[in-house]
Amino acid sequence: MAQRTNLLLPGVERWPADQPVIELVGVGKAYAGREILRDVNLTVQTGKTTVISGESGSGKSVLLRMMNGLTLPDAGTVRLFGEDISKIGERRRTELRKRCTMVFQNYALIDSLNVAHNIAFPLLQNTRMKLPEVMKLVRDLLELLELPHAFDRMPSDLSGGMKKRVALARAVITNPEVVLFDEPTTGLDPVMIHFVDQLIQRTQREYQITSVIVSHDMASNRNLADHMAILSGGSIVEFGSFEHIQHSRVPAVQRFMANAVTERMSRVEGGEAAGSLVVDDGVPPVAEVIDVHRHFGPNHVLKGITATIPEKKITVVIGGSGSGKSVLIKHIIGLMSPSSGVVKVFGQDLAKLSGREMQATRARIGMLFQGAALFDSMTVRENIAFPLYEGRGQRGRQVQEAVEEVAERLKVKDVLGRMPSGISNGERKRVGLARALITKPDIMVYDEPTTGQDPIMMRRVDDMIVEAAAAFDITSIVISHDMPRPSASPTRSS
Amino acid sequence: MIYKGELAAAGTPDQVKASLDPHVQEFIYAGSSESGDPPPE
Repeated sequence: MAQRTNLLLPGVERWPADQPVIELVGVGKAYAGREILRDVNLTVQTGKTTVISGESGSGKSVLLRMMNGLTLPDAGTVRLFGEDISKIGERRRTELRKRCTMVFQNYALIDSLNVAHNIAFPLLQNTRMKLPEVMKLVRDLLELLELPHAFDRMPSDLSGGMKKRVALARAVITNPEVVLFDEPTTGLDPVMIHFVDQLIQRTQREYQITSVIVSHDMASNRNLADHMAILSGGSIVEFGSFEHIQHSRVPAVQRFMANAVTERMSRVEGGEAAGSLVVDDGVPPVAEVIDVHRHFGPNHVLKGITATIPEKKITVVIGGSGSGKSVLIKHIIGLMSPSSGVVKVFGQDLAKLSGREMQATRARIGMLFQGAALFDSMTVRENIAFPLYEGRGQRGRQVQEAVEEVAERLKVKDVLGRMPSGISNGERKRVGLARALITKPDIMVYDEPTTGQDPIMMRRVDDMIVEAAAAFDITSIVISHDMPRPSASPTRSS
Repeated sequence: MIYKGELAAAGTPDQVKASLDPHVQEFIYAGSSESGDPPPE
């Protein structure tokens, strides 16, 4: 295969394959007095895929941004293509970044440009290449990434998986030697994760790329990594092949791997026909949808769904992005009305409820959103008390007792006096749940509660849902784009 | 499990895993050694 030439730096020779392209020696970084990285040593081999993994908040993304000089170290040395990024000016760092691009977690697409011009942007801005020549490269890339039909679509019309692929195309169109990927599969469903993994590998081969990937999806990492580094507490505590990491004796790595899903599920033998979809397990339903259709303009989003949510069980609603699972749940909590069909909650047809009755029904349903959505200007105690203060006009000792009780049961009593910015991610989830449960709902709805979380945090959230279901004797509905993990002990999925 | 607005499978996790619906199989076993080719989007 002929060597590719960097289209932004046509005179620059490619970095030799026998020398490390990125080297970090004794690197440290702190923000506001808090040490994020400490004495990090890491070598990225040319032509290989190095994966950096570890718990949320361990410094992975900071480390990645250091590799192309978007962040500079406070201590130690970062060498990119043999140059110390702290000893060169910003202009030179910009030159090096043309050889080392980045795929951002949030895609960073330009909303006002269509797909083709988003991908073409680096070439149209930085070279004198003619438009037809650039668009030929764009079409080739879209073909490789199986997106030829997206050429003139706008970013707002794309699914998460499509945006990831457009971001990948934009990162490689200039023929860089290194691509840094920040959480390339976060927020995608399993089918799309597998697909994006394959496309990353295909693109690496075709574009002769050295990759550095930050990810805590260990099933993906198993497929992608030549080398893995595990960050814990700001330091690299283990480095080697995936198998080496799997058998590590470092306690922090063992803890991380014990919670990680390292393989996608294996098929079970046999199977049953998907004929009877309505489950009759003898438990009375707390909610029912009967032949529900929902149209949004020309889009038929729900197509005759009939299903039940049994009382005091955990029901996990799974499906890919755009499958309609969130729309279905919005019907059950009364935020949307069906185009046709019936939605019954607590035995009542929601279409027949008055405004006040609907309000009373909704008050019996608690919600926990992805980001926990806490008020940053209020203490944890005030956050938890908020629904009683604002929604029910309650005051005084009664509220404080309710806060203390729910905080005790969800193990956040110790942080009641703190601000949300001063508590961990896990505590934020529990505080968000406490705020939802303080109104004593009969149904608790969790919207993608583990999306973007590391394996340890996923396990904690799963356990929290199971514990809350038992401790508060409630019906739980979990919206997810992943199959329930065994630890969560769900009672059914639909 | 919901697939393109339709209920593709329902039941306990084991019952859903054992579903013969091809979309359910694809969703659950994507990336396993036995999975087929992925969809274009």
